[in-house]
Amino acid sequence: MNPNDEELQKELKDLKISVSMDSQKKESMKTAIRKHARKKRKRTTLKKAAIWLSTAAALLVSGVLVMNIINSNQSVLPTEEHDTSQLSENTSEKEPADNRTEENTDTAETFDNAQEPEELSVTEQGTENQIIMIEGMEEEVSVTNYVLEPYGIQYQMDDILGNYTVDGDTVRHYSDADNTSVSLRVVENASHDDVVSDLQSEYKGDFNYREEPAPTSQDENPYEGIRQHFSDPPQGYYAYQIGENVLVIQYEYVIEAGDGMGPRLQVLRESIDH
Amino acid sequence: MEEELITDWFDSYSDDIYKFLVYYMSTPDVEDLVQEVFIKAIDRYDSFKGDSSPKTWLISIARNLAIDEARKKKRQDWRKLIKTYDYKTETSPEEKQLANEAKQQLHQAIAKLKQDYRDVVVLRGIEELSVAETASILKWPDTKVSVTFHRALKALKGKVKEGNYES
Repeated sequence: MNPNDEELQKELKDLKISVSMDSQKKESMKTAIRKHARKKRKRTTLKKAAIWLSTAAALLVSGVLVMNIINSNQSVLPTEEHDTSQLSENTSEKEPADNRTEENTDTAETFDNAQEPEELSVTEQGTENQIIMIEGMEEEVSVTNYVLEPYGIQYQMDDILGNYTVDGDTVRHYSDADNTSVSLRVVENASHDDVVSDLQSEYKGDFNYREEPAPTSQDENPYEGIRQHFSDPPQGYYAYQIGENVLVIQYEYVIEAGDGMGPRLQVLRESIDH
Repeated sequence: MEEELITDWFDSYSDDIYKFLVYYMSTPDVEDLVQEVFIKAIDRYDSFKGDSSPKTWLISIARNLAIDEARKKKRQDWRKLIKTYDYKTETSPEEKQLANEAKQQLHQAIAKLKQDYRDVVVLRGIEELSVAETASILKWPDTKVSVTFHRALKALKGKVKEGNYES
């Protein structure tokens, strides 16, 4: 929280008022509320009594009906055999229809297969050079343009993290020594607030340092997002709402890479486009 | 709901509800709404599961009523609202005037915020409720409360800067 926010919060606290309602007014309100509570209680009691009586009446009527049915069934017992033969005829007639249902199920399965989501993949779109600031010094780095398919989400990754693997719904970029990594995945039809709740359960460990979740800067890219950083080791996430989906970026690096990782992650954040 | 229980609640929380409605509606003329909140509480008592405190439950009823009222746009009386502030006797008339103007400007800026932002500013900023209490009233996850409060403060600063309020 920056000092401006703190000042504004103090001003908000100063808006607190110390007045309360007039005591006479309060008494008259209390009387009205008590009266309403009495009325409500009376109505509820009457309602309960009515429900109890109607349930009892319904039980009585159904009891009488059941007794009548039992009595009438006892008088027609000899015709039961005829009914059974008719029943078996009906069953054999029904068989083709059952087969049809099975066929329909097969068709539905085929349709379901056609609806299965496309698998996540990454395509490379060439490289370019970028200037980043490391400890106040300009440094030229090479970045590769990637597109996350089938979502069409573009991003740039520093060639230091040029190795990558796609595993299920996640693409993981990592350094040659595999001590620094950035993973990207897309959660479909979700809100970034819900995704962040899930992400937080992944970071429940005992960290020396834990930032509060905070909104990402919209100067970096146009998408609403939430970020959170932890250490040690340094790690964290960004969750961006891109249309109906959420792009989740999770990173982790060794503390020695700290100075260079900040600007490289910034390049990644600024490059996100859809 | 027992008469005794609602009377206890009224004694304990009516002033809190009153203040919340004053901030939310930007006018001190909200007594009839306070009564309405407790009447609604009696009618909806079956839905009170006891997960939250009675205070946060009553504030959530008050908030819904205030939103309905705000739609009608009947209320908002800045002058009356500003008169509710007490100052120390040694405060000079000029200082009072300046403080009142700043408060009025802030109230007007809050009233111009979008619904979500106004909710968190009133509950977290003015009422100083905890993140958990605010989350329970707004039925949001805790994270959403923190993040929305951040954004709301930023938006509020922008509105105060814009100025141009009616006097």
